[in-house]
Amino acid sequence: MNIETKEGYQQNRRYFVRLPRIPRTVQARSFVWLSVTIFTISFFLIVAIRPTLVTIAKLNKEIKDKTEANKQLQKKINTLITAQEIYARNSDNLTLLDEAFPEKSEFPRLAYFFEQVATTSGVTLKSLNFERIGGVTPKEQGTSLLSSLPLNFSIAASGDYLKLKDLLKELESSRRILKITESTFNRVKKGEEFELQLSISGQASFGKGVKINN
Amino acid sequence: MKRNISQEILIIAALTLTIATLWIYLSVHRALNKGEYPVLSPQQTKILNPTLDESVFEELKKRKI
Repeated sequence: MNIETKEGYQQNRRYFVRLPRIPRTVQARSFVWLSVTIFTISFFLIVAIRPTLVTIAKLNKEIKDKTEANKQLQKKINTLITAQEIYARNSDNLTLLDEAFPEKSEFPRLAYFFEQVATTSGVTLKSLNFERIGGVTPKEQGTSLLSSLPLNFSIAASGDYLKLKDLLKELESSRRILKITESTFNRVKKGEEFELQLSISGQASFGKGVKINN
Repeated sequence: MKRNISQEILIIAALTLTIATLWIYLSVHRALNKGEYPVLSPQQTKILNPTLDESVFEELKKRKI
């Protein structure tokens, strides 16, 4: 086989493979392999790593939020325990609160108190009026809102100035919360004599949310 | 300079990797800062003030019924 000459090469060409330039082939192969590697990394980043990282971030945030909520609830539990202790310590005194701010208007008891105070002060109770309580609709009844309803009252009493003053003082020192809105002294002619009369207007409050039976 | 196809593929691959990395970063950032619904409602987080002025009871005891 003569391949030295051009004719000899042409005749035996089929036995030869034309190789490309070696440096160029190596570079191209490197680029291709590098590209394949990068594509593979990108693929796994998108398909596997991203969901994993997002899940980890979400769980981290959830843990952080729930830890914060746990702290807040623990704080609330502590305050409730403290409140429970205070309640237990003062449970005997709760009747005092009921007397000061009753759930119902309890106007008979209030009327009795006024009579008693008038008697102890030594004055004559001329009149005692209670205003009908309005503004409570059946819908509002039974609600647990803590708000007060006023029970308006007016008293007229006659007697000495000092005794009337005592009456006023006694009313102001009542355990039931009374708001005296007006008090006036009048001189009323009774026969041939003048009589000193004290007129008092005020409000006694009671809690809302309980049926009113009067 | 004439580029061959392998170089073009490499550039595309590099861009894909950059975009994928950026997407992952943004997704994680959004997951961390996403304002989801709060764990507790305002009513549940409302804290009771347990202080009580106990001198009120003494004052009430002194008053007449």
